[in-house]
Amino acid sequence: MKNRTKALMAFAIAFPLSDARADVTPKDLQVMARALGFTEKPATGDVVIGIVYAPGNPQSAKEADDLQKLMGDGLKAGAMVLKPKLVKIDEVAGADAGAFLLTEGVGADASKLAAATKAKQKPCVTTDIAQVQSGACVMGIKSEPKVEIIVNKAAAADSGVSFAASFRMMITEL
Amino acid sequence: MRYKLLAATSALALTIAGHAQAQTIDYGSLEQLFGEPVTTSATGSPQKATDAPASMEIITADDIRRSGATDIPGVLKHVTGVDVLQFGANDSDVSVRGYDQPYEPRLLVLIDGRQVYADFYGFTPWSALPVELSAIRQIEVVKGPNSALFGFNAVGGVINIITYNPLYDDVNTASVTGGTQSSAQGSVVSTFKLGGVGGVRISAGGRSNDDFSTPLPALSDGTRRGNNRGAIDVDGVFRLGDNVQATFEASHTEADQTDLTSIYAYGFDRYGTDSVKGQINADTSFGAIQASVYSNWLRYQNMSQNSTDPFEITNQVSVAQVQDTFKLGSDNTFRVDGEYRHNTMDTANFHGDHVFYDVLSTSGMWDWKILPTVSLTNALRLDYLTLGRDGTAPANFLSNSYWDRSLTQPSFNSGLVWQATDVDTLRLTGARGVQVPNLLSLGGVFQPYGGNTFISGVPTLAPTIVMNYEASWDRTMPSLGGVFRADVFHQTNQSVLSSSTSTAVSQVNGVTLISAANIGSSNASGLELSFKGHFLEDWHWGASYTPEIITDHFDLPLAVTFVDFQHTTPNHIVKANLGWAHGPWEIDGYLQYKSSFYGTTLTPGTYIGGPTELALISDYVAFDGRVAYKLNDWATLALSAQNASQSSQRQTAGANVERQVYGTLSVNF
Repeated sequence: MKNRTKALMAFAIAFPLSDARADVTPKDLQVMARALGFTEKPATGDVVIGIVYAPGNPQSAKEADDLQKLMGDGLKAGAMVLKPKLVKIDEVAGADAGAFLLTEGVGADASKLAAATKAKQKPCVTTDIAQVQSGACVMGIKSEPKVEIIVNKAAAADSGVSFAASFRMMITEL
Repeated sequence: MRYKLLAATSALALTIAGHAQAQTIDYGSLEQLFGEPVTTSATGSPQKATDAPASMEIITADDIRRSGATDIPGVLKHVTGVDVLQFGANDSDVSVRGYDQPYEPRLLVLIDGRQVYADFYGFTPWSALPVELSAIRQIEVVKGPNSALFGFNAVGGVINIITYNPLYDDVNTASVTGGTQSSAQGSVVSTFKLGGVGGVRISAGGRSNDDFSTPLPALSDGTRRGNNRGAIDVDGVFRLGDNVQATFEASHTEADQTDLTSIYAYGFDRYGTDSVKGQINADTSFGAIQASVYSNWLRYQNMSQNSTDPFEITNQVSVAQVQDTFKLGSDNTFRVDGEYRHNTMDTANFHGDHVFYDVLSTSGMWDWKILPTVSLTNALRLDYLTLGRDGTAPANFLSNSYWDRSLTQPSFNSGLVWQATDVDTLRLTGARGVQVPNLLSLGGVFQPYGGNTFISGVPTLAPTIVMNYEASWDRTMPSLGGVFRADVFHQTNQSVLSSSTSTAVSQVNGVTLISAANIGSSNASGLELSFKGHFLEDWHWGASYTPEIITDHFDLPLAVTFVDFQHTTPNHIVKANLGWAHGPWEIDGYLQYKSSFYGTTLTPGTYIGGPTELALISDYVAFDGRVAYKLNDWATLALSAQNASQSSQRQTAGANVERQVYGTLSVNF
């Protein structure tokens, strides 16, 4: 417990949180899409990616809408073609998706996503690092000034997500 | 407005290169993911270049293409901290941070982790490397010792040439080059995908040209002949299951060229090399396991004595290695490694006898992420070498049992990396490296000299121990689109080895031996300041300044040691480059300034193998450049020049270099 607390505190140094978050950028999306490809036995072909948002939070809703536009009809990432689909956080339990992309601003309701990814054994990726720290999402990314990736090992295990050994050596695990 | 970069949507529509479940490192996908090159050359585990606990330079395929160089030393001479002495049209010696000399022994060179450094003489025959420039994904330059990972002779630095992986990468290109010195060169690289189960890449190249026509120094017995090179390399990577891959490599090269040898006489050298390698990579619950085995065969002929009875050597090295790299908990990555190496050469000029050694090695690495912003890496290696000699020497020589000796040497690399801010990274490193005497010095050279006197390598030579202490600071400057680096280092070298095989005379059991020797110590201190950046979309530039001072404390004079690093290393080197790319055009220029220094040369009026002296090399500026135009989606025409500022220029104590100008047509298919 002590080590975990130390790790979380230390991680905040590297990934400082603030109320004024930077915009999610196309580069963030690129990194998220590529990172999904580093799971062991990644999906192939058309993969629906659920963009999870909180309808009551304008920031989250707009981010979801913009992400969907950015991905267009599909974003090819390796052997996958990610097909975006908006998913309200309250409806995530019933969503049929191969992976989830969590927008910022969902807050404590993200626990519903954690329950869904655990039940469906699917990965989740986000730029909202706090949601990775809390275990609501498996993987968080930061693309500037250089790419950093954080994985919550417990959340990954719960969701049945694992990564190649070489990839694990290049990321931060909690 | 969020998504100010929505216009970049079109870029996202492009394929995001994906990652296949990787056992061999998928450099391309990892580089795309992290936005920077990935390396395993610092610790043996994959790392982002900016996280590596070592001073490194990574030369990308773009850098190689835009350098305009037609060989690897031509690419390396533009790199900060890398010294290149060009002694002939195809003869260059490369070192890191000074100490450069003909048949440079302090730089360990590998291709995809396979050693191509030639142990018999302790140098790298660059023209005999079985690799085409267009097959190279990146060249990783590690500055300072890295013996804890790579073993003996990684003392001045390491160059690990990483080629494209035929399983992940699809490279199909051919080029023809013609130019001055009657140069004609061709190269082809082609990849064949075997469904989803594997890929094979075949690379082949040939080159023919005259050497420079500038005068050779006195005493050189090297009537110049045409220089030629031919090489072929086959690499295959196959999936044996979801988590297992097998790699197979085989290569063959032939190269004939005029070289400056380590005794400062030009001669005509012939190299023939063969290699085979097999490797298994498996991603297991115990970590990433790699088992590899390879053999290199090298045939070397020096024609300087006379063309019908050349100085001829064969050398074989076989290596078997297994390593496991794994992560324990969230913050600790480990590598454990075991290696066996057998290295043998026949004695020259007394064929039939052999001098050989076996090396058993074990090493470990622990990378501890103390905090997300602070990591401490420690690597330790222990090498146990047993030396031997077999065959029937003359009755008046020493018995082979005189060579039954062993040597145990530790080496280490330690590095503390602190990402102080989002844009600042600080490194503190320390290392101990071990340079073993080459096989010739240990007994591979053997020549009766009358009576009970022999020119002979001796088994009592001690290895050179290199200690390196270093601090560096990287600062990313987003507003300038670049990175600034400052690096200060201090290096000590104990038991430095002479270059001559006739430095010392000793008496052993009534036999007089003329041999190489340990001659004392040498220290180096230096600074590297460099900046690389982009501006105005189409432009990129780089500049570096590297002052260095070397102080030798040798017991014997240059005349018999053949080395004087204090005077033969330039104190000031400045490098700069500027490039522009727009539409079908690419234009690049490279400048290099070296302050005056000395070169070593045979003393006129004496004899080959005889005393040497220093010759002043005045400071100079050299210029390389390339202009390329992409004719269409598959063909590019390029004009490049090396040493372009003058028709000939004195850069070493050897023959002056000549301007080299090439035209190249490259085709991607």
